[in-house]
Amino acid sequence: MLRLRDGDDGAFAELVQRNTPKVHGLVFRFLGDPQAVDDLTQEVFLRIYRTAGRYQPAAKFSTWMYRIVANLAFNVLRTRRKGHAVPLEVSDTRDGETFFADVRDDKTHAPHQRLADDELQAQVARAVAELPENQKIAIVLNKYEDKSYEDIAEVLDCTVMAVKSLLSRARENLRVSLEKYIEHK
Amino acid sequence: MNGMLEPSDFEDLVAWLDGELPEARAREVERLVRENPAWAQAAREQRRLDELLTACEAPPVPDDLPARIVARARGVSAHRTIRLRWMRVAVPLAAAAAVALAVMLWNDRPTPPPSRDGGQAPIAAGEPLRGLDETDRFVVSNMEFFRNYEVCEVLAKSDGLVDVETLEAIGRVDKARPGQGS
Repeated sequence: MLRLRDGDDGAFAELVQRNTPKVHGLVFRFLGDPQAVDDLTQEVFLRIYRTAGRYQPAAKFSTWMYRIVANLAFNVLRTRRKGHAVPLEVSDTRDGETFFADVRDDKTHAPHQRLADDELQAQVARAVAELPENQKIAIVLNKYEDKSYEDIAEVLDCTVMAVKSLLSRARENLRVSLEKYIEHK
Repeated sequence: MNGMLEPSDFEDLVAWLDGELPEARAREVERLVRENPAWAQAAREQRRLDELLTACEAPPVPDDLPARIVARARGVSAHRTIRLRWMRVAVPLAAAAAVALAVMLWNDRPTPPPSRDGGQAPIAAGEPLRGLDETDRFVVSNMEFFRNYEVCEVLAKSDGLVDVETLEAIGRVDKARPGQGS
């Protein structure tokens, strides 16, 4: 990031190559559906590119990046909630089908089992996406990025105790949303 | 909060599952989960929730996405560079043209009557701009024309020595362009 800030254009390609899977995954977790994930991932990196000149290494690069991802994703969600057209609406799946139909099936499940798994995954993704913003950031960073409470506190600019509280509330909300899958294992 | 545990106990249970509890409290929670049915049930539910969350896969990243991102960023950068270059040329030109126009207007204060027949004086083609009455009249009667970027650019490059005919031609072309008349 410092190389990019100092005008090394090749550093941007490296940064994109290294972080695209992470950003792509985070965007999906925050949005809760595969629509617009590719486009928003591009927007994240363009934001990084445009603001690189002002980057100050006061915090870890990942902290800064998580904030950008969260801010852009939540802007999209707020716009959707207001019922406005979302500019980042183009799904980039090459055959026009939804993501879940494209997931490789290396477990060779029977079709009905596959359908049930797909629906369950969609439900889980939606339940996470419907959490309040800070709870969502906390649970996504904790479960999918393996971040410690301290790291999450840095991203959210709050105390470790607040993160502990956020995570317990997030988990309780998820338990309620996904009750039927939890009780009928 | 969790129906079976107090909020603070539930927070500790979650922190214990995440490996974030201090050692002494972690041992205590471990014992409660082993011995207390409510704690045991809450722990089971949260472990199941962990399984669900872990099983939820993110969509695959398209192979060409990183390349598309880099290409788009370079496109944005190039566009900005072109715009900045244009501004670097246009702003001084516009400023210079404005000053030149002001000086010409100032020098032209004792304006002679436009022409004997009451119409605009004809502009002779091929005459240089510098210091000629016809040119001054041309400037005054074509104020809008001189706000045009291309005209200013020609003026600046020619150091003031340019055919009126040429300027007129540029102005006409520009006026014919929708949205770029001034």
